[in-house]
Amino acid sequence: MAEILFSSLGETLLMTLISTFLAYVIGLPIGILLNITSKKGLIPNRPVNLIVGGIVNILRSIPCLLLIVILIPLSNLVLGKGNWSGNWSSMIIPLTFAAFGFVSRVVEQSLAEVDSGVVEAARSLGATNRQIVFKVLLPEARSSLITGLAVTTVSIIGYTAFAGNIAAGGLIAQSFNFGYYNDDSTSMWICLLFVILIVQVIQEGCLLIAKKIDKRRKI
Amino acid sequence: MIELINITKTYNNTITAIKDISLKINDGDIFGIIGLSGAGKSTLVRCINLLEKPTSGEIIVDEQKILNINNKELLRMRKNIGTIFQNFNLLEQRTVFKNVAFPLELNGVDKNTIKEEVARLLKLVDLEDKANSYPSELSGGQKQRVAIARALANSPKYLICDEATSALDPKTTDSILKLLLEINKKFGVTIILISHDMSVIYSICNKVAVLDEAHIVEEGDVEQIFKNPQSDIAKRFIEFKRLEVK
Ligand SMILES: Nc1ncnc2c1ncn2[C@@H]1O[C@H](COP(=O)(O)OP(=O)(O)O)[C@@H](O)[C@H]1O
Ligand SMILES: [Mg+2]
Repeated sequence: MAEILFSSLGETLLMTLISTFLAYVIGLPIGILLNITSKKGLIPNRPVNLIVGGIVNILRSIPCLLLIVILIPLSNLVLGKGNWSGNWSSMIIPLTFAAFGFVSRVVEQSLAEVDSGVVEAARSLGATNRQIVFKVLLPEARSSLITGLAVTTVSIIGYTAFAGNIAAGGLIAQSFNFGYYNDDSTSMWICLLFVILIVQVIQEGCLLIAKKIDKRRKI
Repeated sequence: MIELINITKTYNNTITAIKDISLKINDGDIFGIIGLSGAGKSTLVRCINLLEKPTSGEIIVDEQKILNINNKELLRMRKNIGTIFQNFNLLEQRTVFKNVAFPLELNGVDKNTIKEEVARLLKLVDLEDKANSYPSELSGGQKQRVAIARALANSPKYLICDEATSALDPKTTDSILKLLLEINKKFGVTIILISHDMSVIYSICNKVAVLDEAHIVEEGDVEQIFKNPQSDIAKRFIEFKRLEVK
């Protein structure tokens, strides 16, 4: 039991953290692009905003379970033929795709919260658009970005349930197996308890950091 | 010298925020622009500091036409025209020190020079002891002093103050106006002071233009307009009136 539990815990953590990281690698730049091309952004560009926003919306409307199927060719290409199932790493590509559209919107929203007056001040000081993104928008939105990270990570943990469909392991799939196939509800609950624990740590940890780095007036 | 020639700015082809404005701001002036809310004051200064492109007209800064300059020159121009705002617009996640250092960072100035420069500027605005505070820990007057130090970090020739004292109490307003006057006299910075309050304009300006519904209705020496206002709107800025209800 302990052995299964710990290997499942490892699988969940690996799936979640790597996919979250990759989702941000792709989603953060897209979120920035969506923000700066919006009507009140740094370089308003309606066509770009509509097209990129549209693609993000489409991606977000495809359920994670179907993304697994749709992305089999890509997974085969990246992980080697036949590796699209059977291992925790099989979930990385579907999870990344399921999350990066979400990340884009969360980032876009966080950046939109930055006071437009501050951006105007930076422009009046002769800042380039690039400088405004990296020295004003992202740092000023940092607290909100961290809270967004918590929300993203927790939803990715939820998506790891679909690992069960392609024998990719993880706590949630294992928990399901214990409860459904083995009629072992004790083990099921122990697995779930670990999931709950991870979610708590991530959520509260991020909130704590977000609060600590936020120097605006506390209300 | 900043020269505006027949500047018009229309938003969305419908709202004409300023119309046919011509102004000459000489070096060393403290040039006041007074007008009611919505008169077009902010639009006018946003055209001067090149945050907004006028729909038509010409702007000449130090003998250079600036409406068709390239991006690099535009950024250089903006650095020469500092702006402070009613809401201060400080970077909330940066300390006072880092706020004043911000324009220097943009310019790629090295760390040691930044330290010296920021120390000098904070001394100028009398905030040496607040270097490590965050804007949320400061009073309104202190925030505006940080904004002034930040604007001066680029060593601008011009400083625009858009309702810079409108959120401050009278005593703090005086101290900020005094600081602006000192900056004008000591460093020869030309100041463009926007306000809806004649007492603010009267305190430190030598020239004033009265803006009403997108037009300049009156312009001249402050003393003269204060003593002998021609337009109704200028008279209203000077008059005190007790209100009554029946
Ligand atoms: N970005 C904008 N888009 C549309 N209308 C604007 C914009 N900025 C200002 N205006 C309009 O232009 C007019 C003048 O505004 P503004 O220059 O801010 O006046 P003031 O600073 O004197 O209060 C107002 O009617 C305002 O609604
Ligand atoms: Mg205004």
